Amino acid sequence: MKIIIPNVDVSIFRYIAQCLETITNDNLNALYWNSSIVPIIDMFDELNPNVVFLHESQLDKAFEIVCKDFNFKYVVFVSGKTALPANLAQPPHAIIAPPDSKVDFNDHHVICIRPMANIPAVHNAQYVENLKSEILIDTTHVNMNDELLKLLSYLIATHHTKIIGDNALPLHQYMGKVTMIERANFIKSTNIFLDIGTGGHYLDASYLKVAALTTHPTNNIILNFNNLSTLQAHLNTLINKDLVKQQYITQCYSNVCGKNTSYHFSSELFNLIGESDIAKTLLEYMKGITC
Amino acid sequence: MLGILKSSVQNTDKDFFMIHNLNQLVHTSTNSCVFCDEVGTTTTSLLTNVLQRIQILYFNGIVITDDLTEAQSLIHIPNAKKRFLYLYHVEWPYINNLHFKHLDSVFLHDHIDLIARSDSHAKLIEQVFKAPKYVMPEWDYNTLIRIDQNE
Repeated sequence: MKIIIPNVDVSIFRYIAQCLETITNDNLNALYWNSSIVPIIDMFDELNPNVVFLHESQLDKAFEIVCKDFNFKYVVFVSGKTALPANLAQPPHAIIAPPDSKVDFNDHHVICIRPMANIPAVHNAQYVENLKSEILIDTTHVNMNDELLKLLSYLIATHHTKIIGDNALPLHQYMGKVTMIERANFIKSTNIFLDIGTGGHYLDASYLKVAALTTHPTNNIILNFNNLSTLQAHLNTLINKDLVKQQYITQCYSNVCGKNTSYHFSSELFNLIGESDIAKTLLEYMKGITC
Repeated sequence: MLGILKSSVQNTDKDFFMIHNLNQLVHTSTNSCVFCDEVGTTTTSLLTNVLQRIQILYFNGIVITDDLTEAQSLIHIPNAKKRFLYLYHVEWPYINNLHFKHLDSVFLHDHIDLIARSDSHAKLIEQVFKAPKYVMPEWDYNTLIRIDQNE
């Protein structure tokens, strides 16, 4: 089976590709397609894929042609702001939509993106002495504002803090943009990971058995804060009460491994499009690496 | 033997102190030279040897640089006895489009040691990177002598 994923800037495609990459074998090939270089018709001519992931912007005339000439399943990622084109030659087998999607896709299978730990990106993380910190903050996909800057100033003044991520900050503790592996090692080498974004990155930390706090909780286990005093209280507990911290880490880890990983999401998606073997393999692999 | 690596020597605060202290070293048993491509107009003349920057590749003494750009080439000086980055100004947050690999390959490199300018800088540098091996206030020549003797 050939599964094609376009190399577009959609995180969930990368997550799915990384999960599939870990279970590829002679009968299952997951390929990244550089859609800006290879047109969709050429890609189909060369690979004749069984399953294709597409961005909604790729549902064009060329796509209509391949729908007529090839037999395949496809999953489309939508921004959730506009409806799908009405005259699609073939309906999608599933739609991946953001959680705040404003469009109702009643007639289709829809799977909403939710915060998840992207296990392939962090699984091999290692503690690195040079990267160690008491508190780590990732600024990627974070809209910095005065409140957050005040919070960072407090943390820098009171704790051994390191900051990484795509949003550069004029602070000495800002260590720059990081690669996937560097990010994982930074998280593994910190005592407490502070997630100030909306992407649920705290789940990566929870998977790595690192205590995490977030401003945007997605379950009732994760400790969250929306003001400085709550943050101080949580930090005091996690820094000074080791037993509580260990129990908290265990609880968060179980919660992540139970259902909140990219393997769970991918498996759910492949079940939705009738590829239950792949769905099963993904979950088995997940269990294999976490047991 | 100390070799100071710089792209240029200019009329700046840190270069003023460097020249002043290297000139003091001339009266001691510690030898030094400066490797740079340009010596601009400075308030004090440099009394020690100045060699072209490229000559650093043949230098086998202790190399010190306070220049973040030059620091990237420290590790490529094959015969250097020791390599030091003197963080005179703690200026790394102002590097454009900063990637961690830029810091990792210099500040955290096993073969590059750090020098801080003050105790407060040393504390910050230790938290963010690693403990500086020396604290040298404004190119203090006594510290330079100590580095030459210890290393």
